[in-house]
Amino acid sequence: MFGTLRVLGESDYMTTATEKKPLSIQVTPKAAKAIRRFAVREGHEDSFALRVGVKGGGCSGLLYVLEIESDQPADTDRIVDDNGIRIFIDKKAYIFLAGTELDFSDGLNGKGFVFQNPNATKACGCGNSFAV
Amino acid sequence: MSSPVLAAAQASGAQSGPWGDWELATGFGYPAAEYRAAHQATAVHDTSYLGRIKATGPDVLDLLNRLSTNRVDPLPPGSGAATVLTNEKGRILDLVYVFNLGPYILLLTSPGREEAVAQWLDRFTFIEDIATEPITSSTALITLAGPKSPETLAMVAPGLPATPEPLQVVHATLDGAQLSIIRLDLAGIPCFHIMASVEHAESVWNAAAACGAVPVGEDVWQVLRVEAGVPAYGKELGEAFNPLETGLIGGIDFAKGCYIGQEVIARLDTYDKVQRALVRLSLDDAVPAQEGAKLLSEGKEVGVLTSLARVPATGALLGLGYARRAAAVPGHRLTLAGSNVPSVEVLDLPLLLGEEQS
Repeated sequence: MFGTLRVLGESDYMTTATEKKPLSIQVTPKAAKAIRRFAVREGHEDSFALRVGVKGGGCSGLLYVLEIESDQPADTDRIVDDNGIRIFIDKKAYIFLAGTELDFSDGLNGKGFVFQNPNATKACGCGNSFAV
Repeated sequence: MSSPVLAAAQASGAQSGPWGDWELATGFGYPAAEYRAAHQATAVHDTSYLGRIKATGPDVLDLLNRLSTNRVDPLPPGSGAATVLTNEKGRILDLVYVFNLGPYILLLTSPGREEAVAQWLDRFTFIEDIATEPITSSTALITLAGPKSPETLAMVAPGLPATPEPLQVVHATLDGAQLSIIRLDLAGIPCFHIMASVEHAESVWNAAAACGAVPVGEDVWQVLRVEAGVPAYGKELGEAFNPLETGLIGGIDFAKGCYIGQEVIARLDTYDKVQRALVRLSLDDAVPAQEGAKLLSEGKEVGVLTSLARVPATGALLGLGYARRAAAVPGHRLTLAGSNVPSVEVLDLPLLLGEEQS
């Protein structure tokens, strides 16, 4: 399951707090708008961050986790800024998520947040679960 | 590994031998009496080879619920559930019994599978607060089995508030030793698995024997297993099979949502794509049989014999195997490869965990 995972070198990682690099996590403008909408709904007006993570489960082994948090990163977090959204990613989750683009699909058949994850070799039908 | 009650069993007349990675009591010299005790009175058996993992932390049940087929969250203290860990292809990593002992969650795995199960949980632990510790070698598991075993249990562990029901766990003390008593029946035979620390294992064994329980070795225990249609890891359970083939449908919650392998298992069920089934078999002695033999129907290979056991009291030869669904029909006769005599009869399709949940 983990056989195809590339070993990330130091240069792949975020070395400063808000630097953006090709292997960071990106947020489309549509997703950024949706995230701000959810943040306001949850009572965060200005100061918030999006936590992107993974947890075990789902049909294919790993599930995406999205949470709105107050703007207080943990020591183990990598921090990315994109389209005005501050993103926290735990280091352990980062190797599964590096290079992922987060989009938002709305409308009647919309799926909500959609992950384009280059590390995923398989995904389940609904796209919420993946394997690397 | 040598069982912590091997010396006590040998003092009761046990012959010992290897079984998997274990050195344990294979028999006590009177297989027919051992067999009858489990069916008519109380047997005591050393089940210490079952894998045991102590899991602690607030997220244990939530993680297990996301990784396995059955609903195990919530699981109130004192209760248990059977669930199957499957990979993303819906194949079996192990059948695991999960019990909430209060201070921690106990996972009972197949023999020798505790490391693999603990590693699988660790692989999917990211943000969860969970610690796992294999406790197979620091504890013993001594099983009272048989229709009279509730009475024997009451003598071995006086002061039990009530006899535990299937899939319940209760705590008791014996001469100061803390015991956890897990009820996990073998088909219709009541079974109480008494977990004690290694230091207290012998006193539990001796107390059971003193209360009249008949020691049963692994040879007869395997007969009881095959007779009850219980799949064993490495024979009927493993990554070659999915839980629907193995008759574990009662351990699948089709409504609880995603877990690893759920999509494949739901599809197999919805589109009726299960290809083969675990079957219980009766064999006659006209043709010599051995585990691993191919099973044929009308000259075509339709399955395999995976377990074989001779009932000591009657001499009947029983087996477990897998057969393609067209052949997995009670009463259907099969032949062993290399023979023309239909010496194998399909008895039934055992469902260890019962029918599909409603």
